[in-house]
Amino acid sequence: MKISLNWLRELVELPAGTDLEAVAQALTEQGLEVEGSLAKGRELAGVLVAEVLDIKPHPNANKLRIVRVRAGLRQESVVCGAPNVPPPGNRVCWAPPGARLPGGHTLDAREVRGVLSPGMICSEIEMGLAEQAEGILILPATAEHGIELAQYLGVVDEVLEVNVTPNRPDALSHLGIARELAAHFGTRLRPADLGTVSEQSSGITMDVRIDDPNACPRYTASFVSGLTVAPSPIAMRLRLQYCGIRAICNLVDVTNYVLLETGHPLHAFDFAKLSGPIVVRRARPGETMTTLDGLGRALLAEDIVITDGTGPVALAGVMGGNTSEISGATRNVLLEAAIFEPRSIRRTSRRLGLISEASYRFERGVDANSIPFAARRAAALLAKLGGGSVVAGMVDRYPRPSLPSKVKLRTAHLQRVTGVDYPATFARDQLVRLGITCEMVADGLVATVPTFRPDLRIEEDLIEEILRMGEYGKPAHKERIRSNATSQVNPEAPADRARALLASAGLHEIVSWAFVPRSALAAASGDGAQKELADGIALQNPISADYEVMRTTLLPGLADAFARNLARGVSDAWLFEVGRVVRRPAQPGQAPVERAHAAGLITGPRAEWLKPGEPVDFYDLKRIVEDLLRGFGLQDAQYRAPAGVSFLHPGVSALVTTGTGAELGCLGELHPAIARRLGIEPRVFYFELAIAPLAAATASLRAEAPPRFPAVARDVSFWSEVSLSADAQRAGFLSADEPLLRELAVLEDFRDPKYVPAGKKGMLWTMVYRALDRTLTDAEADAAHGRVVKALAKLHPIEIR
Amino acid sequence: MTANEGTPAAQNLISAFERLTAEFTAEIGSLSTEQDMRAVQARYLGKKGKATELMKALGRLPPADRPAVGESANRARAAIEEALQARLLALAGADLATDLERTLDVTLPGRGRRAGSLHPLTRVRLEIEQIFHGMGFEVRTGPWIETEWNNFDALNTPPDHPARDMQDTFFVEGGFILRSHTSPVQIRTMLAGPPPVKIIAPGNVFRRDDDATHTPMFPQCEGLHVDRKVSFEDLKATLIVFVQRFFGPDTQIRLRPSFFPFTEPSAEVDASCFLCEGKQPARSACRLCKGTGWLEIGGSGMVHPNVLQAVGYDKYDVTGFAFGMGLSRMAMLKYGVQDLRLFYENDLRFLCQFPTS
Repeated sequence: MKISLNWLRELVELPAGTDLEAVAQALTEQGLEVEGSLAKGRELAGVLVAEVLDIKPHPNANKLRIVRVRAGLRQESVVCGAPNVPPPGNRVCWAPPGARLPGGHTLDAREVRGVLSPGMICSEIEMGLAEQAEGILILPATAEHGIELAQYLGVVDEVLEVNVTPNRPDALSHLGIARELAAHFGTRLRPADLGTVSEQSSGITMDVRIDDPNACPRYTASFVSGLTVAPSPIAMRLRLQYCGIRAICNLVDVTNYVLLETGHPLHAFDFAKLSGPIVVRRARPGETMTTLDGLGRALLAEDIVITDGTGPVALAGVMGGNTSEISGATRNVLLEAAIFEPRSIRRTSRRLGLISEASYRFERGVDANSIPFAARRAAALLAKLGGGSVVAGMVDRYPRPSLPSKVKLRTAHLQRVTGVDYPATFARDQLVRLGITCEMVADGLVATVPTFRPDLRIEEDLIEEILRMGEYGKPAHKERIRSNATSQVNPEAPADRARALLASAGLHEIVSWAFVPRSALAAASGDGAQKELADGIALQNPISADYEVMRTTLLPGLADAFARNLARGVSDAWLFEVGRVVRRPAQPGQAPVERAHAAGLITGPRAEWLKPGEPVDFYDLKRIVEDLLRGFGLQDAQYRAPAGVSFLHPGVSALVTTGTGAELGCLGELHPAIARRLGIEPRVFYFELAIAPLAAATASLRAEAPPRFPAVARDVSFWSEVSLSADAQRAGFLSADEPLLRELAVLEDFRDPKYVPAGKKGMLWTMVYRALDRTLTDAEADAAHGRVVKALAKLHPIEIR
Repeated sequence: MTANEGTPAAQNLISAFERLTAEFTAEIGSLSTEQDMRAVQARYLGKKGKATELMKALGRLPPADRPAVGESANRARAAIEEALQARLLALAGADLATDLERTLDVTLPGRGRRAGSLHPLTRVRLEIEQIFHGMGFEVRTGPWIETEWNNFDALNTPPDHPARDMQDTFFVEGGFILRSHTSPVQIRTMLAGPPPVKIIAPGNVFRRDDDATHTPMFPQCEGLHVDRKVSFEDLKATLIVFVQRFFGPDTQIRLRPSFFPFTEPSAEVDASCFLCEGKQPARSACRLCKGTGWLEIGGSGMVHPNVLQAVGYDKYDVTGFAFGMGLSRMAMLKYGVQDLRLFYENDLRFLCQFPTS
């Protein structure tokens, strides 16, 4: 909300020397955060209020005139081209040589068609006061000539941007902000003086009926007659402009001005266009109306409407109707000041996309008891600016009066919540500053909360008010914190362990959106071949098609990040993400299933010294996965092909399970067709593992002392069928149950067709034999090795080389 | 008995053994490997070696001469072995010296793949978790997909509150929403067991906002402490300890009254700007705090009695405080990152600046 400092100064006394910063700090400390301020009118300097003395034609130009002006003791003749130079005796704005106008333009004396003109007579546009104007600005004849225009109009101002939280409708006005400052500085509030308004008893009036008191607890109608529509005075227009409201004409501007001043929304109807009487009710099914913006609106029963016997003339609290709109011909006005049910206003304004200054305040709550003041203030201003008169007798219907509420505060509770032993008298003094009256009782106090503070309903609300006035800023006491470590396991720990392991392995962590385009899931799932990947939980109100469905796999995010990095010239991006995927629940109606996954992709050349090495392959990926699993203490993971995963190459991929067969995830080359659909051309290798089974499979770590006797190594080299996997060979060797065999590992899988028989592969294994209690002899080792090799040969056709 | 006292034949033999040593030393002088020298040694001392040949003459000597000649033969053997060892040692010394002359360019990069990186949002979360863990807070998490009750109603945010607007919250099929803050973890934790509760709840939250300063998904960290006699003073103390550990020991906090439906009293939390330290004239030009001297870091307050009531806690028995902060903001402050979007662009040239710990 925009607040004018000049305006505030009119409404509240401030201690001498209170500047912008002091005001901003006071408000911010009290919870009305000043987010910034704008200095206004600084670009206009040296322009003077001047009296027109006489007007002569320009000798060389028809449309120009020479105007002699007086400002204080100075008199000059200025060339002016405006059509509306007023007769002598009126006041205009003269920018003499040396004056500064917005845009950094400094005036000087210069010839205009052969006549020297000392500066110029200005329009509002030239002075930056308005975006449009017809001719020069004419000031009232009462303005003192010779003074600075900026000073006269209050052009020089500071506009504060105040962030008012939704619980403080009372602060949505200059008066409300002024009230906070009065409480802060202990000074007096100076609401606008209504003075004595001459009221006319004869004239216009109209009856008002409220059909639904819940919808409209109070409605008042004031009448002002004999008005003339005209532009508002420049000072009022400036204030509106500074506060972000466009000036329209005096009758409309007054309602906005009083709104900004008192926080009370008002509406002016052209009385002549109402047939009457006014009835406030809920809209009827099928009812329609056209609002001020010219749009036809279909109404629902939750909407509140103002009707005049012919139908709706305003959408209560949201926007007026175009049939009763103020126009240039308006003479008499019905001025509405009312309150409406916040919930209805909110729903109506949201549904129709009409959020106005009025609806904003009504939905937060406007004080019913401030209506008469706001209505009288607006009526008096209307009469003054429109040259009319206020009709005696405001119609006031108030079926549901708002009464001050009583809230009890127990001193013990105040002390318990705050942790400070405040006495009850301190609480009372703090509340009294805010206009809350207090009655002391045995165990605390009973506060009577004025109706403009609907947010103060319970004890804790009062406690905040007591602290708000200066106690928030008191220093903290660190010694209250005693370290006491907790016993609970951090549920994020397994995911964080995966992050640390993958980062150590050379992958970089990314964070991608939890929602992905539907097309990405279609691609990843092989167009639905893998249903649990395709069928993501959909957002009902996505921002765009890029954020449509909750991800079922981390692949789209990683693929997207990879493609982007590739586009930026990072060709060997090794990426990982640890995050949740969301899958459809087993039973409809249950909450979707969220699981943490770890996924990563690698590509590009293997790192070698100072030159790129061979491209990475499946086994580089597998090493990363193996190390990840080892990091979780998992020693017996199984890799099984085919993986049968839609997004992986059918021949170059595997499923990973624990030794007991619990599925952990998959790894392999990204399916080339799917990679292309995801925007990836190079060959990439991808894995995705679930964190929970990984963490669950984690065995406690057991360590052995190093062996005391030396080991003997033996190799075996043979041809085998291509289809005989390394795991199957290992199982074959192990079927010997040889107690001396300690370790065995593949050294080579050799398939060069130049040397290897068709359908075969050359295998080289190395075995380590060791006894626990002695040094093995060569003969013992040879015998053991013979048994191990024979065990494999018994199960599978192999040919020893 | 000396050589001079023996027969001429014996004396010849003794001289021959002595020459043998000199010949051997000369012969290996030009050799550079142990293998070659051992071959030469074999020609002197082996089965068919020169020493063995000379020894054959020993039998023909008078018995009285034999001990002296035998002794000289032994001396020759020992001397040859000694000469060999001496030569080997000299060679090894020369090898070592040569070996020690090797140098390389230590400024060339190390071999192999570099370690990767942890995302800045992960790093900042881990640091925050550690600080609160030290103050006795447990880490708790909850689902992204939440009920409206957990996300709003239980948190004293009735229907028709502005935060429940369609433009803020994502709705998913099945009547659920994506949580718009981490506060539902408070509700879940309190529903799961009686007080005391002392938790932090980090995690992603979702709002329908997507512009330069908002992302539709972002991480928050929530804190909650409910127990008998937990007060606003405890909240202040917790926050000051946190900011001093996170930003530095001279950091101050400023609490400002504010409004959140689920706390009363409520407070915005500002930390003093660690860049300009709030001191003029640095403050006026400070890009971080924009001249205010303060950095907004989050919201906080005393748990609203309606929230305690909603989870079945006795609002007359226990009190509590809660706080929450945006982790992206904390990471921006901590690492001097100006643009929020960098956290989500996953550009390696940005990410690789954050080492693994």
